[in-house]
Amino acid sequence: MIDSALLTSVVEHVRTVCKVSPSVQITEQSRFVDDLGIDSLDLVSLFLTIQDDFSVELDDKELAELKTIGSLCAAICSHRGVAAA
Amino acid sequence: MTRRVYIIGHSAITCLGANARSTFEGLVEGRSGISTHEELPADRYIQSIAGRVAQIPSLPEGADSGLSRLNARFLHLAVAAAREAMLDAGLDQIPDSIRERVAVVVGSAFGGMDLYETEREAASRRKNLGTSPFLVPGMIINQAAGQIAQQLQVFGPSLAPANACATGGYAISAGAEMIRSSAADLAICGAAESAFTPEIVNGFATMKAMLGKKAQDRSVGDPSQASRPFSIDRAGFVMSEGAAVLVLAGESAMQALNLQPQAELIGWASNSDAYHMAMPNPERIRRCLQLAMAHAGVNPDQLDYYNAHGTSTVVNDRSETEAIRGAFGTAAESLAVSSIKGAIGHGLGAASAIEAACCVRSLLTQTIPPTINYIADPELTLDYVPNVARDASLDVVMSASFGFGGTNNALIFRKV
Repeated sequence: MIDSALLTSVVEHVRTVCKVSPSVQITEQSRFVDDLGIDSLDLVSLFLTIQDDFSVELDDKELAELKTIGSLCAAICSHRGVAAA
Repeated sequence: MTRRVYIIGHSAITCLGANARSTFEGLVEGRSGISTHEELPADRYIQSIAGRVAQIPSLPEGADSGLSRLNARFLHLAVAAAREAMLDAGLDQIPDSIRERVAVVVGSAFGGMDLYETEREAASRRKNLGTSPFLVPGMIINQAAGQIAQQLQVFGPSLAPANACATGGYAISAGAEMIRSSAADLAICGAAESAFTPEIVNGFATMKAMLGKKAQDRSVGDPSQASRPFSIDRAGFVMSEGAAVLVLAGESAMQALNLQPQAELIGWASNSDAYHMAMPNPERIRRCLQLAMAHAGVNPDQLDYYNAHGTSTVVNDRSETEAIRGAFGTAAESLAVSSIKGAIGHGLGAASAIEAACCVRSLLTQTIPPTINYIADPELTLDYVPNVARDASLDVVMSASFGFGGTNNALIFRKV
């Protein structure tokens, strides 16, 4: 279970940075590429913005494994030293 | 037979107006778009007097196609100017049959340096050196032509001249060559610029090309007087931003698409000073003006108006006056010469495209915009159309531009 405030904030970032239409529903399970149609440049931009705004630093290996909104939230929590669940 | 080149649409986005019509109206009314800008604070910028575009016309709903990711202002200006010019041409719908025959030739002197500035600051705060994936595509100068082609879905050749302050003129010349050589049936030509980074502004000020801060300058009380081409107290250019596009067409395409000519581009020429990194060479400029007249097949006494580069620098305005006298001979005495930079500042790469669009409007309206803020300099004695617009019978007009690196261009338009 992801903290709802964190989830809301990440979803807002996804909508703003990746220009995901308001008509597309974004959930914890949404996959960046397969469900939301985010391309590779937008995805890199999203991860950079997330790192800036949440003051976390994710290495390339971690980033490569982030496929869903939930996994991104979990990674943010992990780097902040906060339990995601 | 040589193919003739017509202007079928034009646009300009400047600090005086969001389109060519409002910009030209402002010029004719003698208004200035120059003011002091809080977003250019004194602790970062040597000069905060400038010409900024109040609002870039937005894209129609659903027309983004990636442009919103690219936060380089020149790209948004370029795309908006291209859209306006195509609408002005009556080409809101482009027939599929000609999409491969539409060229885009749109340049810039600096490209996305504002984006570079923003991203450099952001990246410098990141330990992992992460840099926006949109930095490179947003900075490159040919992205303007690329975004226009993408927006309009045209598939002809694209080109992005980078010829400093003569960029727009070079773009229009290159587009005209494409029409003339049958490489394209339509050419979307122009330039866009927005280069308000501290280093560029301060660099221009440091080299004394741009008006710096002066306690006694008449811009202190009234920033609209900062840019004053050919005036005795001219003290450097005032930087501005903007974009302009001309849509060029050959005769057969114009007839096939039932488009109306607004003016004819009858001659153009470019040359190099081979002289100095920044100082103009009046002899080479004179030669460029003469080459353009020879290309157009007109004599000096046939020119009714000369839209000057007229930057408001001590050196340019003196050199240009000398070059005009050399190129036009006795005809210089009766030639109307004006610089619109007094009103809209120096749009750098975009300037000559904006001036070309204003030449088209001069021919359409039979009006010469004035050189505003003008106070006579006894050493410069041409007719600079001082301070007040003039109704005139205009048949042939010239626009000239010169850039750092010693690059010159001249365009000659005729009424249709």
